[in-house]
Amino acid sequence: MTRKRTKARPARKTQSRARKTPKPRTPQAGGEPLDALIAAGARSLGLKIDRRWMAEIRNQLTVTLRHGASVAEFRLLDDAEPAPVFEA
Amino acid sequence: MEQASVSDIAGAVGSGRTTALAVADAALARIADRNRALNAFTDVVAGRARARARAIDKARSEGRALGPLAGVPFAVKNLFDVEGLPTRAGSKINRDLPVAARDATLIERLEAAGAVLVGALNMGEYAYDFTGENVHDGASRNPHDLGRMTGGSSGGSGGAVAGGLVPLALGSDTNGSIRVPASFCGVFGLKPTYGRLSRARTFPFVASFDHLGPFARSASDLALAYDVMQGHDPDDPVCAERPAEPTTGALAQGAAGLRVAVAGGYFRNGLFPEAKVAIERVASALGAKREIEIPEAARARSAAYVITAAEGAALHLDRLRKRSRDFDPAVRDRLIAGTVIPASLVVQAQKFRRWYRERVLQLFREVDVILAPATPCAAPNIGQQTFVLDGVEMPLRPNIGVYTQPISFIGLPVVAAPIPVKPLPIAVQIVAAPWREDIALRVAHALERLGVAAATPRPAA
Repeated sequence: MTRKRTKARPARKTQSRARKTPKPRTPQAGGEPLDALIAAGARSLGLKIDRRWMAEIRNQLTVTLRHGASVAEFRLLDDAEPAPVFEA
Repeated sequence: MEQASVSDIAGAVGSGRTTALAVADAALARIADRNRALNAFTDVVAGRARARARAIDKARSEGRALGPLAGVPFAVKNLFDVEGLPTRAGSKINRDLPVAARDATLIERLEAAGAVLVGALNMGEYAYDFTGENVHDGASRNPHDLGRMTGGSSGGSGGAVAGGLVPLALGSDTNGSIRVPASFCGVFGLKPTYGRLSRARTFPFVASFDHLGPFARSASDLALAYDVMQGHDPDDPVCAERPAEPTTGALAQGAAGLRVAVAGGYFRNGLFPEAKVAIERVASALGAKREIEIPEAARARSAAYVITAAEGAALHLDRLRKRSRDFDPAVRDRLIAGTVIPASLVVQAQKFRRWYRERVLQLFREVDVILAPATPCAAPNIGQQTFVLDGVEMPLRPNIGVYTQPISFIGLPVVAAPIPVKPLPIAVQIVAAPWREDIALRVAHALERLGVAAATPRPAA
């Protein structure tokens, strides 16, 4: 299979496109949406979370999702390959 | 011999001016004397060290050839497997593991070259740390000021070398865990290219970012140790199938002819005065007038942050299920948060990583070396939670690695070179293209000869 190379774009153009692209809806800190996500994730993964840990877990998740939003808003071509490449 | 270099010790042992046993005994005595203050060592393997030293002395007495590190005492971050010890990786939980049956590959390679393992070193729990603090073993303490952080997560490695306990230590670097303690403790640290040195039989953190490397008090000592540790190892699937590319002989070439630039933009923001001074001294000494922009460095840090959180959480999921109360709470809460990060963000971060790598490699067509700060500031106080960056109070811990993460994110080789700024040292990152550790070491060595970079070990009072 032939793949197109991921084209390098000038930073200015990238930033411009990023502004026009709706930002992902990241759950906001300090409220139920993240607590619900944490609780559902914990249930599905079999984790028991002490209620006293929730505030810091929420803080940490908020920061991580903020970083994640920065990554998600960067436009890449559909055929961009993730860094680790599997070799059969 | 307390501040003797690796090559001086090996030379003295090889020539018979001293014995490996005397060197090992002296190191063990220093550890016994000072470790209470520095808290760098968590395990001391005195019997093993003396047995190994005696074997070296016997080999010499029989006229057999000794290795280039004959009699050099060294220690390893306690995530390295050491035969007969549980690989605690800074945790309480891992102490319940069976003891390691075999040494890590890099220990085997250093000992094959004549070095003598004297113990294992303190670290942040499971390497998820930039401070060198540890709730189970206590904080590693900075030899320059015992109230200050060593930096982490290889805190004991930085403290042991800066404190004169050993001339050589090994650490790991996932997001900055060699370069940060090298900066705060004022010693040299090498984070090689991703895949260069075997990680076999060490406890992982983030498989796609984990590197191992040495700490020492000079660039030439780094090179000596690095050279004997190179080479493919089938026990680490990431370890590159490249022949060893020795660097020691290249150091004398210095920085002549190398195109050196200073990282601008992101790497100019948020610097404390000491970090600015350090960069300016190094750039001036090397005649580096060009400033270069590493594209999307902030986003690279964000992507590293996301991948770290997700991979770290996946690694520890079972321990979080069964023994969550035995973690350091600060580590546990970050790991639990990492369990629920959407997979789409992690995949996007890995795609961005490839894009970023291609862009940064283009820069190395124009320059050979990029200079960047290692840390925003010199060593903060132990327990400090915030610092003021550009007039804004920021959480300290996650921001210590702002300048290291965008570099290790794509596995570039880096020497952290200590600049003796008063009152506390701070390091500059010397970044080279993949597989060009020789260039980063040459520049670090040149800076030493110019009197700009120097380790200033200071035994604890």
